[in-house]
Amino acid sequence: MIEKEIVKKIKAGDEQGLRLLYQHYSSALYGIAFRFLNDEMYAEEVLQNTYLKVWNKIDQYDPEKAAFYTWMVNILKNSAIDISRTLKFQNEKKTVSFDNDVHSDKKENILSLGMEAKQMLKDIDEKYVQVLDYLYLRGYSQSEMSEELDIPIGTIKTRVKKAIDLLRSKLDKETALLYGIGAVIVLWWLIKSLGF
Amino acid sequence: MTKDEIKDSGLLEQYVLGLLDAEETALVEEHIARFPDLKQDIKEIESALHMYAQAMGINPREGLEDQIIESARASGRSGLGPNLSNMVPKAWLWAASIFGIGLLISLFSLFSVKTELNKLQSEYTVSKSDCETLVEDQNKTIELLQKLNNPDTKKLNMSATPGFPETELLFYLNPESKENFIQVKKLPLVAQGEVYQLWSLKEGEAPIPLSTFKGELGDIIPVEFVDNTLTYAITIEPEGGSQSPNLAKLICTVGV
Repeated sequence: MIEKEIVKKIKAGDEQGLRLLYQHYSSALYGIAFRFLNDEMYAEEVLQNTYLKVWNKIDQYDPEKAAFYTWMVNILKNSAIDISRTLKFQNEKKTVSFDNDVHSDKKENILSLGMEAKQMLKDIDEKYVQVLDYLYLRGYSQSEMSEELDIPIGTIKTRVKKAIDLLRSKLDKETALLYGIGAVIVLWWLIKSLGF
Repeated sequence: MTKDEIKDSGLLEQYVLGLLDAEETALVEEHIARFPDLKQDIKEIESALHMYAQAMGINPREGLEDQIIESARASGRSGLGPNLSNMVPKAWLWAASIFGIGLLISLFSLFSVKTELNKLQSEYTVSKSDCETLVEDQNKTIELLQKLNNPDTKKLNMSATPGFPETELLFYLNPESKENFIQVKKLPLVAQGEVYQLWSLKEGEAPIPLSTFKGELGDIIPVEFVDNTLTYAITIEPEGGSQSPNLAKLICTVGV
């Protein structure tokens, strides 16, 4: 629902829409940009480019083709690819472990968020999280990941599907929980209204 | 492939992750078109990745939000201008309100100024009229003084009668211009309904009744001139004057 509200406001040229967009998506998008480029300054540049493009090209967004968030991620990754190509950071970045290469304060922040992620993804085996980290957050291709980690591409593809299936089932459980809570509230309201 | 086969293939996940080549992408899109239910799977995959990215998110530094908003403002947007959101109509509303208030104040000020102007114009007209009257009076006084100081004008003291010794009058007589003036210095009191009356006395003729007047100290009063008058006399008579003098109230005379 918030997506529709944000898109509507941005289409109307409402600055509040841009602020909502930032508040709801900046950490996820910046997390991807930072892991992709491994540089705060360029990650900020990519994030800014993405928001400006969303702001100025909102009419190009087609909800039939992709979710709003996915559309933004595609813009962000294209911008990150442009920058990494220009700076030729790509090869250098991929030889360095992510957690060992960040600044200490940023590392602490990331580790903190990583703990939350681990809590949330505690039922997911690390090898599945790893494929998402490489392919989704850090911009690797499957062949690049296969080469670097010496894992067959077929295995990577299988792990991708499994990882996402696990996430979907977690979402389903959360959704079911929300529906359950909603049903309890409605039931409680009905009971109270009927005077039982 | 059947719907289930493509679901199980893992192609949908790789499609959302952007890992497919053009041929594979076309294949997936063809299946999505054929099986619209797959759109729901795509949405769920997107949501799952969004959740993962949020869990792995990193907060940008403080101040970046304002910097981006400022950049968006600077970039502008066709038809919107640099100011974003409904601040534009709000700004116009404020401007219109201020303009309206300003207009009301201006109209009120204009009305006040107009009223004040009318009042001043009225006062000016009255003052101008007063000035004209004063100038006219002054001119008359100057003219009178010129007549009194004319070399042809005789200045005579009128003699008070024993019954009215307090009387002090000056009589100015100009035979050339045939004009007479009386300057009051002191006059006896007269009762209500009485006035002073000038008489012309000629030898062998009855007194000729002339001007009646009332006067105070300093007044210079023009009175009639009669040729061949030997003496002018002043009596106190009923208001409107008499045809024959009341000699009991003869206050002064002057021989000319």
